[in-house]
Amino acid sequence: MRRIGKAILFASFYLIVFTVLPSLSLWLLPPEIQGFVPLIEEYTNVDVQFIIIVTMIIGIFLATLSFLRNIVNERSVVNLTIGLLIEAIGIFLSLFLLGLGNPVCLGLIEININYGPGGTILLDLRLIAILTLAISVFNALKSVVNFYYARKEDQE
Amino acid sequence: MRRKASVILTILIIFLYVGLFIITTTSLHSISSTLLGSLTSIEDIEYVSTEQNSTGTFTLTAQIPARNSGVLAVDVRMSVRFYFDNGTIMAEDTDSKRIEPGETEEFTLAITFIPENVDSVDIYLECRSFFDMIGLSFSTYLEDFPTSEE
Repeated sequence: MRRIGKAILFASFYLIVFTVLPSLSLWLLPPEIQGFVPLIEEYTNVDVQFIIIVTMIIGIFLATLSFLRNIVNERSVVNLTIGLLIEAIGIFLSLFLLGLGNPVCLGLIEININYGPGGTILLDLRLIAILTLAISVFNALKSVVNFYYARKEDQE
Repeated sequence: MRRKASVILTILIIFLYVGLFIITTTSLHSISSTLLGSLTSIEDIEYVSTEQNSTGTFTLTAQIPARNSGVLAVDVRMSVRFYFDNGTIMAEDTDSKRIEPGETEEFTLAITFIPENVDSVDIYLECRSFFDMIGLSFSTYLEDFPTSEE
């Protein structure tokens, strides 16, 4: 029972942060800022609605995986696999958000402005992308280390 | 052993999270405030234009103030390029300076050109912070330059 409660708590966290808040963001923002969203989409190559929808879908995936991870045996291979899958999806989501919808750019974002004389904004966030990747890699490594020593303790 | 390895990794992860948060907020705040401050201070830009009648050339000097109201030093680079209609560079000038937090620096761009030969202008502004590892740049390409033949 306690395990299910923990599973629901963790899954709710992912759902609130990545699904509920992004879906509410457009309604919660002040009207004057809401008005900027169609302008951003019209005058730049940034698709705000697409970014929000993908984040919401990934949030549902993460919540489901987190729920499953917390109800299966902590020392099982399934638990480790789900843990690594959560980190992999986390890496994709970080790069997707850092690239404003384009995860392949790895933090080097080019925004074309189609307004007035036009222009280009180039955002170099590669260091942030590298740090985010490092955090996910160390999280995955921690899952593997915990699994390895837990199995070793069982054998002893 | 398990506990020790797990604790070390947890500390490392927390350290990285804190570092990521501090680096992201401080550098982006410093960069965006400097860039927006420079772009919105157009009324503070001083232009001096001198005409040399014998050759028909103009020398345009612009003095652009930029203020860093962030918490990290920002390296700012400004450049302007004038092009002929065949795409070759007619004239260009670049100025770059490091602006310490809370300070204002003045950038000077001086360019000599023949107005009727100018086809397009490329303006570039770049701000970098945190050991040049995080940056934001803006460039615009003006094709219908007002001093061309019309």
